[in-house]
Amino acid sequence: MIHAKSLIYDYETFDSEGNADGVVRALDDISVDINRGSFVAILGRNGSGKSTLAKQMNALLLPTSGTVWVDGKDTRDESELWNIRQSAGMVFQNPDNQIVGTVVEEDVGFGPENMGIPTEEIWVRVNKCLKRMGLEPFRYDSPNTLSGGQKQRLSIAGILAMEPKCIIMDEPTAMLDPGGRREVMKAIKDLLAENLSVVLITHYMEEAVEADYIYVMDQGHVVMAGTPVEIFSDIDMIRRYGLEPPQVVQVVDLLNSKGIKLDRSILTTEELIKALCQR
Amino acid sequence: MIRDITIGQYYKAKSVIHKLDPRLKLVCTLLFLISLFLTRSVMTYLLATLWLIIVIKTSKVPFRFVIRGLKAIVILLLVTALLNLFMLKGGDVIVRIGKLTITESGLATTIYLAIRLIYLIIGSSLMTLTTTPTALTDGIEALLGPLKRIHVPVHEIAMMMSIALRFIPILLEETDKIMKAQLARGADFENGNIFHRVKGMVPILVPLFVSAFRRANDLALAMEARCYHGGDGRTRMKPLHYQKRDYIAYAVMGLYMVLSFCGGRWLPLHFWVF
Repeated sequence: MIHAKSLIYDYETFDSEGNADGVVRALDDISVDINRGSFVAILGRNGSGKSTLAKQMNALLLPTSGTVWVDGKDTRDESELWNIRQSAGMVFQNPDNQIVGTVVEEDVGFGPENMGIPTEEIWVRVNKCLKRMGLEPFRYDSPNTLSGGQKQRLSIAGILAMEPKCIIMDEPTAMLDPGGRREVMKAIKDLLAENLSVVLITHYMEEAVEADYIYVMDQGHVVMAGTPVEIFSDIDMIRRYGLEPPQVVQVVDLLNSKGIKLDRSILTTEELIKALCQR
Repeated sequence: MIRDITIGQYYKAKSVIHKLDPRLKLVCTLLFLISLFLTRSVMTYLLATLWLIIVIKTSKVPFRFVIRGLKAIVILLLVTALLNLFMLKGGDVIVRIGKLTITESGLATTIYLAIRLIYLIIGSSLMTLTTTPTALTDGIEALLGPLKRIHVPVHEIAMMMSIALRFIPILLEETDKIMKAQLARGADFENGNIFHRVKGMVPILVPLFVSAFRRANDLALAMEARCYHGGDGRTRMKPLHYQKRDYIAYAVMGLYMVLSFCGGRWLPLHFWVF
């Protein structure tokens, strides 16, 4: 679905007078593959380049060198720009700053309107997406009256209405309370069930546990890549990149060091409880 | 909560007036305002009064909401009325209080002016009360459409208006937050003379502007990610279509304009006749 090959991205820094005074390499020789229908998490501390990578995935930023293909299309091909953005939708961190419409249903229709979809078709899509994200009761309300979790679901609905093949989420839960975070994670699972690809950029390890594949980034490099079990089995390595392993992994690690041997592939609370009860 | 405030003064109700096309309401309001200034005749004003009563009744907006808009202009109204009343000279003197005199034409002009101002406010309030801000923006965009030919960025203006509508409550809330944060750090917004207080606003405005620019940047990215590329090739989720009722309304409005104009011309009953 999305493939990046030896992707390099530099941006210029400016001094107080606005003159370019340096170049920062935000992404350095990145290669990632996101397959259709898969759930990929990208982890990394602040400034590791993970948001920059996300913006490369729907041509909001273009590579300095290397190539990104979205659904087989090179992101530098300007004639395909709107197709690329349509097939790889993007949800951002701050729910307030990505809602355009003054009424919930109108915001869902914003994407299709831009794509030039006929009016009747827009309504079909809006109704479908509102239902999918459980927002029907609020369709005539102002987005300002929604909770954080509902706002992020609205953002997702707005992207879904464009009928993308992949949704890239740039820390969608960072500004939400635990309830809102659960809402968004549930929404992501619903999307996966419908064979959409999801790229989740996050620094909550608990969310990454459910991914099919994880990339860990640091200082513009992909430093670790693997399944959650592979990634979280190396706690020291994760800590070195400024990340805190999921609580369950830490507990398993502690229990192991105290002589209670548990399988290192345990990642969720349910698995841990089951393993402990079987002993 | 501050986020619950509605911008504009839309009054939710189910009425024919609410359902009318926003373009029609804009045009009719403009015509009504023009009709108030076309003639100086009792007939025109009687007709306008009747017209307003009918519109208010059919719109189902409570009368107190309709006149709420007048509060803002009470002072302006009083000052202009008093100035006109005592300053304009012409015709016989009716009342004499020391050096101040009220003349016939002064009195007549004052009455016209007061009625015109009040009806003007009521007329335009009725439009904003019965039309959502979104519909108004759409209406303005459609009406200004022909200006696109002379490269007026109509779509962009309308988009800016609707985004402003969406972000006003958010920025208000933010202002509130920043004020509290500054108060907690010992800022004083209430004491001192006016210069002192204006200076006190700087620590509110600077972070507010910074945050507004950041939001604008985020929103621009989000809009681009959702394929926004200006008004070209864009379709509408809620396109404006004139219904039968809109044509009827246009006809009624036309009739009103004719009656108002002719009534004013051929039955020029002036106030001082009474």
